[in-house]
Amino acid sequence: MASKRTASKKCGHALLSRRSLAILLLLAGAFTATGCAVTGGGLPTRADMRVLKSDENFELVSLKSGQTVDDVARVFLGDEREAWQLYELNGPLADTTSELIAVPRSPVNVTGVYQAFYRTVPILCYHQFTEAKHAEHRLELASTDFEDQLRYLVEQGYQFLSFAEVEQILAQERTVPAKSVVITIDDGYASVYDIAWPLLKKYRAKATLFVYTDFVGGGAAMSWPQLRELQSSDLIEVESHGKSHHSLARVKEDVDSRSYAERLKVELEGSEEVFSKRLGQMPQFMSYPYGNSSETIARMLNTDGYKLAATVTRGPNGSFVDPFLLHRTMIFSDHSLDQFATFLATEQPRR
Amino acid sequence: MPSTVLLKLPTLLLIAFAVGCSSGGGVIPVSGGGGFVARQAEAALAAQERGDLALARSIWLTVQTYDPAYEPAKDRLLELEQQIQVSVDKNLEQAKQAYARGNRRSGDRALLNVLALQPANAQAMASLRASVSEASHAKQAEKVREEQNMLAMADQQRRAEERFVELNQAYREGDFEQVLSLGQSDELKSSSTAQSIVVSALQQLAHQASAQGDFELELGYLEQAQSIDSSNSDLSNKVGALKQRISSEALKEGIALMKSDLNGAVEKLQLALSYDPSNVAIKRRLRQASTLQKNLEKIRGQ
Repeated sequence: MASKRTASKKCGHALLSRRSLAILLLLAGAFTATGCAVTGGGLPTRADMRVLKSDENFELVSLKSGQTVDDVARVFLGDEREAWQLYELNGPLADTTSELIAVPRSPVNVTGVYQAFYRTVPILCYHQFTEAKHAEHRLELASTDFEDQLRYLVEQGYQFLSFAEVEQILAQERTVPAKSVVITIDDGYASVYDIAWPLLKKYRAKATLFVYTDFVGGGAAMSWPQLRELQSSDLIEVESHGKSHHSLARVKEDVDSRSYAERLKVELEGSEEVFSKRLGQMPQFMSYPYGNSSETIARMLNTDGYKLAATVTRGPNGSFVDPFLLHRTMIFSDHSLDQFATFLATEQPRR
Repeated sequence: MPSTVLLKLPTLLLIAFAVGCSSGGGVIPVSGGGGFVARQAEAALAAQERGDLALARSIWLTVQTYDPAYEPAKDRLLELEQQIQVSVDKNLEQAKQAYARGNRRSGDRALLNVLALQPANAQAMASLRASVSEASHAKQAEKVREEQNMLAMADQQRRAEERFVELNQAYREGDFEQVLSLGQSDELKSSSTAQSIVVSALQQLAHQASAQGDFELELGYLEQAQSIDSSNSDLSNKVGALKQRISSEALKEGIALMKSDLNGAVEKLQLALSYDPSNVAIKRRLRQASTLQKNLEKIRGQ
């Protein structure tokens, strides 16, 4: 990072001799893309990059002085943490001037399946947070523990993904990142706004909130204005956890399949109506209350235009996972950071 | 570095670049480390050696981007694509056969092989997702079933706890018949703690019957308690002693009746024998009484 932050400094010409300046001017003329690594300071943009050749598959980018492979990843792939794609596609790369880097126009391995393993996206499930040193119950996490976890994710180079991005991965519109994680928070407790949100902002961590509409606005819950505020940020998605938090799997009270379908309809339509009225959007993603689903609810969600739905069953999310049965790992207050780290596997060995 | 060289450097770079761009093939010295094509060729060969044919193909394609006319890349690509296609066809067929045999795991493995070879193979992706989806739904259904069973068990547990409180209350109040009734309920039938209280209640009832001189009723309660707590030696001793007592009482009564009421005597002696089947004295008395009874019937019949 330091090298990028100082990139503009590297372009300072004040101390150059006239001869050196002449050489530099000639060098600049020798290449099609002129100028230093960064125009106008800050991080390099596409205009700062030198593309030597390209076809429908790849662009060949030649590093300018001060530019790095991470810069290329950020400019061409949208995130410096996507640099792994460049290292995968190219022989050994170095951050040296004129290093020629093949950049894919679309992911070369969009499904993330390799001979020895396949890439996965861990999805974490949180509920409540507390400022107290110790949580009162397993579903409540101390803010210090949550911060430790966020810091760990950032330090380890995990990309925070939204559910919209997971949808793109499952639709093969983008590849499974080498290291990514999805943070989800169920129910809609006020502590999400009061405690988790400042930390999410601090670490620039994306999160998907799944709220059940009967709860929002109640004593322990977030209010609709708070949810609107979160929704308007570029970090938070507000999505559906149903209307009443009743299980969406068939239970013994559902005397027949018709009454079960009726109950599901009430749950879905009820929450959709409130979402539409209060947030001005229809939910696209669902987390099943208690993580329980059925083929019936999955079919109904699909018909209603939902794109993804998540359980609380642990397991890997490869690119071929059922979009309506995403696996999630519940994070409990008694999990140590070491245990937490074990939930973040992004490669599943193929046996 | 001499200043003349410095001045000529841009020109040299220009020439190197131009030569590189115009060459029809071979290694082109573009990057500082020895050429893009050489670097990529090495990476492609390494990927191929690891069995990562899809990546090897992509890397060769980057060489084509650099120099579309570069023949070695064309040859390698053709060779790789043929190799990939043969393997894809073979794995698709293996998957089909595995699913037909009901071997989901093996089918999934073959389709993963296809995706590793052709990451964008839509047929493999659709089939694999369908298979994974079916398995996930089955797993979900099993989870829901297990949870519902656990809920039902928890519900049963709650009801059992309520019954247990009632049972304790009845025992404390001395309502032993109610204790017996609650002990028979579905919720407490299999609770060993509840049944131990039932045994105590039966012993209390036996004690009450004994106080009233109703030894047979006492025995009934004790035998009931014994059937619940068969390993209780104290109970076994009590039952044995009580049977002896009832038997000897009946024997005494039977002997006394032999003088006045032979039918009554036989009845009492049979009762005495039923409580002490191996008692020789009772058997002898019963034979005597029966013989006398038969003789009497004969006399009466004449």
